[in-house]
Amino acid sequence: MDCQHVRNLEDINEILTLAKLNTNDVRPLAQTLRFTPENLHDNNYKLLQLDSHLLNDITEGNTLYIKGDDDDEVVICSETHTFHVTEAETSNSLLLVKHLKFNNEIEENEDPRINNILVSSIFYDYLEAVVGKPHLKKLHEILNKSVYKGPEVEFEVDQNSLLTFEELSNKVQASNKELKDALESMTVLELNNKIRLLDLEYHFRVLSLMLKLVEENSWQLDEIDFDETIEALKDLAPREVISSLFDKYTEESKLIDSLQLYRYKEDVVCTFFAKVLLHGTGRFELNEFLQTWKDSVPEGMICDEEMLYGLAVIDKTSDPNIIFAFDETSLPENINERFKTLFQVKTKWSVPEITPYIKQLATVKLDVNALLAKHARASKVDGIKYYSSKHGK
Amino acid sequence: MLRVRVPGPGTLLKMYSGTGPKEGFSDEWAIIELQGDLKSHSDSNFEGQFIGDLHFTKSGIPLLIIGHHLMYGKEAKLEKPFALLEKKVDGATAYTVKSVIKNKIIFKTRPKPIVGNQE
Repeated sequence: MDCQHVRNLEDINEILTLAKLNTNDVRPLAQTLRFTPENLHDNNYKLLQLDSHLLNDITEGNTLYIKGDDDDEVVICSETHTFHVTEAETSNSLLLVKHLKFNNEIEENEDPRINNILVSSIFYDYLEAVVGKPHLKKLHEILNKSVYKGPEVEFEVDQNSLLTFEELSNKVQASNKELKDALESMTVLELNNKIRLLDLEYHFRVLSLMLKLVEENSWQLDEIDFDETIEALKDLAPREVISSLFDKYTEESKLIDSLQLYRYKEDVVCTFFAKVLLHGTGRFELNEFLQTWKDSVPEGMICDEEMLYGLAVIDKTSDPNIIFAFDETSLPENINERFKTLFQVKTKWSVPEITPYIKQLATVKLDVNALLAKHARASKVDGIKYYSSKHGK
Repeated sequence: MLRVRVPGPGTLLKMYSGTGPKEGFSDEWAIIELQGDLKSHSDSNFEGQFIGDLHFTKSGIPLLIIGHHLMYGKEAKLEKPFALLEKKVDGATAYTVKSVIKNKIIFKTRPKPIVGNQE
């Protein structure tokens, strides 16, 4: 193979002749392939195989982010999805070429000519990106380090460690949408642009103040005014905290003289009171707990066992029946491990009981019911469907 | 498992997709796929070396002559396209999507030796 010689039509025809072919057998364009004179292997090119989501994002001109520390599995995030990236090997050689002409790009009647095509790289592998679940463990780790406990104790918090949404998004292996959804499911507030997790006790203190206002002022339960609430508590808690709790715990009820009024949401308030009661207590006798709970919630609100799903586990096989707090975020992200843990905690689960603990792992193709069918064994007691371990007794 | 080296914790690699929406990409890049591997005649570096001639037969079949071997191939659309990423070298850790590669020419038949070839 000659190195530097520029090939002309004679060279090409000579080779064709040796192959027992001639110019009449081939179309008028010959493309001569040559390796780039630059470093072929140690270059900055990578091939990324695109599924339809990624192809769409790229052709729309959207920015994609590759996220991951040294110890992380690498993911690519679009605005809405997280893709898990793995390296795939191929036994073939993939030659990367520029300006290659395909058959339909060759004019029929042109004079014979030569195009020089440079091979810029050879690949024996490429990156594969499969749409998957975001990794949210780190989000909890980060936010737990700078929990907001009220203005009085802010001096204890390293203000330099606080992160804005954007900074958080850079560190957490999730798309912006997935991150927003995750934050919405937690009790966070934005304080001076920084995302903060609200301390449970402080949260309870402020919410109690808000609910007490209703009683003190004899407000109708569905005629709560936002501005009055803020004004009445302005010396007791930061506006941002009251405002974010107001968003979380109330819904629009009615308009009076074009003033929007709100009501506290019974289920969200009751669930939170149960969470406070269960926090740090270990096991509670069920009946005792239900009574305490009932007594603790604001007057007029009614507690229901269903409000506890996803927050606590109720064990009715023991005597007396017991309840204990059980948090989804404490579970492993791996699906098999998660089911294993769940069935260790409780042998039989009804669908509404277990759903909050597995719905984060569900996908469009594999919803909660399909996950249960795949990873658990169904049985029926008194017409209610329960799931237990596939390998259990 | 793949490891992409990221300088320092939390650094993100940004993948810019070309110059703008829709029209931002060139189709100027393509893949030629060969079964197996290329071996250099003299075991020297590949850089700058001549590989072979690519023709199309009158009926449009790709034809590649490498050394004393002749291969027939075919044009194919990639089932899943490739994005060609280029790592930016100017300090910022970012990849640019240079092109979306949708087509290739694949040669997977056994090479036919060209006989009676005296040099």
